[in-house]
Amino acid sequence: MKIEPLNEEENEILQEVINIGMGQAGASLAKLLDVFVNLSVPRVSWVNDEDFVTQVGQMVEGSGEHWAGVRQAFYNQLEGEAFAIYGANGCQQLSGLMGYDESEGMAQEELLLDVTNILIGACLMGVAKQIGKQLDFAAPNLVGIDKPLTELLYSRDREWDQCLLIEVNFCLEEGDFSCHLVMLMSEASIGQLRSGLIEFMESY
Amino acid sequence: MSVALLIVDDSGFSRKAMLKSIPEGWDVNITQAANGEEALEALRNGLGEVVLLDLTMPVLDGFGVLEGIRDEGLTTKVVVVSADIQPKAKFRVMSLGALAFLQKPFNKESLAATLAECGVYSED
Repeated sequence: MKIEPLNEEENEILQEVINIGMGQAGASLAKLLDVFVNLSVPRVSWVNDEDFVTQVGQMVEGSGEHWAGVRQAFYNQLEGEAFAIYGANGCQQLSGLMGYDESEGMAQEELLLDVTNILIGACLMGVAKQIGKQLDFAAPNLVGIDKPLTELLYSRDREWDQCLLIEVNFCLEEGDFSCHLVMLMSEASIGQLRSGLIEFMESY
Repeated sequence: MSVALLIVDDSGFSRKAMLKSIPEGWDVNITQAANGEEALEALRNGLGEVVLLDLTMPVLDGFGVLEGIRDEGLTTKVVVVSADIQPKAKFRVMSLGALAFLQKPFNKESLAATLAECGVYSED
């Protein structure tokens, strides 16, 4: 089935809705780490399966060649997958910020999962709430630490040809920790997304 | 006499939402800007007695606009309207001279109440 991509106006509303979700996620991160978080202008694009990794690569450019990645699927009225992409030493940086002992390897990985869960949860719940849609999350899982993007983003059971790609990033004012959130929304939920965006627009 | 109101947001949708939410009967002359540079330019030209200012923007963000206003000694009353809800973001903009901080998403009522609090608009 061929799905109409979002038009310019719908894209604009979506960016604003994401902006609000990102603000909530940034505030959660700021509170957890007791730092000031710089937010980005959200980016939205329509991608097909083949060039999705290339596009994400352009978005995270400048962050080094290897990353740590956590994947979390979401489902219900909106469905898709979200990735948190950290610098290859994001784990250690987070542990340092939280005051963890370097020897606690397990704890570091758990921390990465927890932080991802908070960021993706706050961001997407913020979006879903504004457009009046239901959303549930699967547990996050660590895809890899110190891996190239192609490996982190690979999925054998991805069933879409085209999807909506959303990217936001958070970086700390001090230190070089940064995190990109990449969210893919499937063709199947574009109809729901569209109806929610129009409702949100009409609330003004 | 009408008030020169400057609306600054990179999102066209967000600017439209602000336009629609401006209290009815408030006599304003509106200018729009899509980033911080455009905002400072409008302010230098006297087009912003009151400013509704977003924070996260390309080219120059809202913090940069507030710094520009301070450094250039521009006279204006700024209400920040942002989705950046970190307590530190609010603290910073207030330290930089903003009169109020309104969280996104806002509505007609919260915008009117904030403008009234700042003394730039009266509800009666």
